[in-house]
Amino acid sequence: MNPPVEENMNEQPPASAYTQATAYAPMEAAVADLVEALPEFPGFERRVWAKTPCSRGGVDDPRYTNVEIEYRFSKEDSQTAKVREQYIDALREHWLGLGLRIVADRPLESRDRTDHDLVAYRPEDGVKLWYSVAFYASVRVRSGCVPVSDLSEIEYVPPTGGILPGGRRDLVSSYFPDGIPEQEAVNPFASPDDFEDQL
Amino acid sequence: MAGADVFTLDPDEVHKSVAVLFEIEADVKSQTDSMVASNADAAAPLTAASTALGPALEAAGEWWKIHRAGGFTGLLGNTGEYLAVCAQEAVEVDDFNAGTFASVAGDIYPDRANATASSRPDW
Amino acid sequence: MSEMTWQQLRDLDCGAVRALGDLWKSHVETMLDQTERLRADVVEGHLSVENFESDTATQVREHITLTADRYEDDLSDYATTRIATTLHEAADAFEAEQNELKELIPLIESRDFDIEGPHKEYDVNLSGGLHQAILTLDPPQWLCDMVGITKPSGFWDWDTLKALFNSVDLYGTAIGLAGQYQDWLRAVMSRAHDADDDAAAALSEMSDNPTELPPHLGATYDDLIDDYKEGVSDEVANEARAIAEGTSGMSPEQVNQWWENLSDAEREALLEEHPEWVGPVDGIPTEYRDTANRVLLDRNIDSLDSQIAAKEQALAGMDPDSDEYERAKEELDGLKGDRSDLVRLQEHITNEDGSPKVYGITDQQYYLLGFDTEGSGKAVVSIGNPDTADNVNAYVPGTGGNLAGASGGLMDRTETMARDADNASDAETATVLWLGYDAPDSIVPEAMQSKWAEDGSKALERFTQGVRATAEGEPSNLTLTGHSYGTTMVGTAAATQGVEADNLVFIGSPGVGVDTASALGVDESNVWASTNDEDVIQYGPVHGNAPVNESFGGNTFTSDSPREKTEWWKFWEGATENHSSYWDDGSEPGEANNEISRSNQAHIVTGQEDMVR
Repeated sequence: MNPPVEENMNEQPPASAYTQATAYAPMEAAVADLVEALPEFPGFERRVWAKTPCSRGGVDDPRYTNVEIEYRFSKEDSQTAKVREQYIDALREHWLGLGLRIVADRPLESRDRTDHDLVAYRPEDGVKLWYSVAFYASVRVRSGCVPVSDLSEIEYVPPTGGILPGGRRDLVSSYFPDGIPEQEAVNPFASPDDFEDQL
Repeated sequence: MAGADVFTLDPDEVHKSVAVLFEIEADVKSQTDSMVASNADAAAPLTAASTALGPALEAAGEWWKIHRAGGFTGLLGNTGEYLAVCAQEAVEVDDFNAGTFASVAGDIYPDRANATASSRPDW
Repeated sequence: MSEMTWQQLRDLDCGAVRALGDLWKSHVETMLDQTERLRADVVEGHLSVENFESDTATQVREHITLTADRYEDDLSDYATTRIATTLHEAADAFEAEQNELKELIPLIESRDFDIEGPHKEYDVNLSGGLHQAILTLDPPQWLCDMVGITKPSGFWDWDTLKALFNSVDLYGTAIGLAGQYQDWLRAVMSRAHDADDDAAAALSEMSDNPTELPPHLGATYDDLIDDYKEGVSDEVANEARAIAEGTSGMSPEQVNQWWENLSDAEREALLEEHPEWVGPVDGIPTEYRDTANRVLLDRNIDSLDSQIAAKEQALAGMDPDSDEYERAKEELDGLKGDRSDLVRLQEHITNEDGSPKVYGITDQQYYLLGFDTEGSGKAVVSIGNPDTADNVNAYVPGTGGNLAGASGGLMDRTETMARDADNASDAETATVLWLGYDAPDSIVPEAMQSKWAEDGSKALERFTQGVRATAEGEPSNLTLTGHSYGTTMVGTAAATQGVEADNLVFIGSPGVGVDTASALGVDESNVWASTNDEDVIQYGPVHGNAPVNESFGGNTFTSDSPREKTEWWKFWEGATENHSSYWDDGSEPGEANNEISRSNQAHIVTGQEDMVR
């Protein structure tokens, strides 16, 4: 496929582990893993699927996109010490334990509150996990730049963390113009027996 | 229509209307003159400072005075003169002209008739 | 054309200009008392229908009413909207630049620089005295401070001095600073001249196509009055056309006053009959523009359908090997491309039933403020209503920005910014994709050229003035966020025309057209640049001192691994750092630039600068 980045950095984009279409499942799995790892998890308020452009030399390359999945806590939960402090410590440890590299670990103190950005990078597939504590607390997973897929190739992945699949807090409908496929009722706190096939 | 039915009126009320029209005409003229003079005074240092605004401002003031405020006062004067004539005798709008005013109502408003005499082509 | 010198600008009595504007406004009030008297004492008084009833009486009352109406319109349109407002806007603009001079001139003088000119523009150069001081290795204290040498006290011999100053570039440093002051002075004069010329145009174009006055009573009055009334009914349309075509000379604030003075019926009629005079106009409220532009979008698509059909038919009759065929085929492809871009834009912002779509993540409606298929195309789309939002963030894209992107990558970025702002604050933020200029298509040669930014500057200035003019209630916290060449666009507009923004944010900047934040006409503490600018390394800061450099004088977002800051006057450093990343946006492995940058941008946009790191 594409040559490795060190050999050809000015010519070809580096190879990515995924395409847009194949990125969603492993990224969602990372969030599901996080939900598992965090004690007394209160549930998320909503899920968003989004993407940001990939640019080089200041010019956007429409053949690539950066997939982002965002899960946001409710405003109330965002203000708890559990979500703002405890979870940071827990995640730092958990991600390090999984072999992820922590690339940002910044508290930010202001008058009214202390924010925090905890960003981890997964070397094996380039996925970045961003636990962001600010006005809201949110979990954002980013794929890195991946080749764009046709809308029809994108498959629905049910949400984690207490969000009802296809419900009004599952904000992914623009990816499924024909409607979100029928889902079986799922225990929101259940997780697969293992993640072997997704990592 | 013709004759006395054209404009059934009470001369007294008409005179009052005419008086108001001429008064507003005069007041607007003098208030405008004063405003535009202040405008020119303020424009002068702007022009001296080589701005584009200075000359444009002065021209705008002049244009306002002559064409817009002046247009308004001209209309008031013309309407006032027409009504002054009507107070004496019924004249249809179409039949009115500046000469009519001078001949019919000139005695009642001698200053006005004389002041504007030279501007009446038929005088 | 404005010929004001800097001294003349410095000495201008802006208070007097403002006071004149106030005087005109109070004069208007006095005049309105007169027209009120005309109606009350004459039409409804001595000459009222109670006293006189006849066809002629009716005619005269109507005539006086029309006379009063006309004068009141004049007082509103000419004396207030044009004259008084122009004076107030000019006073504000001149005063802002005077305040800049108050800061700048003492700096220039204290550094022993000379101001030369204007030839076309001012130059700021080292004075003879300063040259001499540098030559004799006796530089002033400020220059020593800048190069980091402690000034020797007492008498030192020549060789010792040479050794002391050997490793520093005194001239380079002094020239660099003079260059910054030059940029700053030129920007001040450019903005002042622009404001001056705009003000003059608003006044001189006032008398270009004035409205008619009612005819005098007399012969042919009946015919003339019918013509007059017909003319009156065309006035709004004539004014709207001149405004839309850019020949009215009115600022967006003045356009807004004109719009607010129209009756509901007049506005509805314009919307109905001439959406093309409503949709693209800065100063007309957003909701009206959105409605008009959606109609125009539909019509454009229909028109392209017809053109495509006609072109296909024409092609069918041509010789496929001919040049004519080639050309026609190219044109057809162009039409199809335009159509597809417009349809995708329409689908992105419109529901199936034709109603405006809402961006589901932030629950804000999309508003279409403008679009164009010419060249690479233009689009201005807002997520949320800038007239009512607490914060407005306008994203100005860079090289490659085109109409297709308005429903593609550019919109992805805009939506991300909207989501981030929504996550950062309870206050409402409207996020605008502003591709209101013809963006360069290529890095080389186009993005090296300043003309795209120069050509787009008026439009960006008017966009920001429009945001202020149509704001309901308090003015919003307005941020312009430039990306790559978009930063050059924002910087050039801010320096040469002036933008009414609170904050300027430069992401990935190849230079913003000036070498110092002070030249941007915005408080330097509200100028931000991100250090995630690989572009500087890619093709050099071609459009001036990179805004992330300390010498630029703005703020920067820190990243976790701050870059080496070398001697600031060496504008082109060459690639001294080893980057293994391919992508610009921090999607590189092992860095968190994108994430940190997004947090910072959201804080700036939502007025929480104290949270930027």
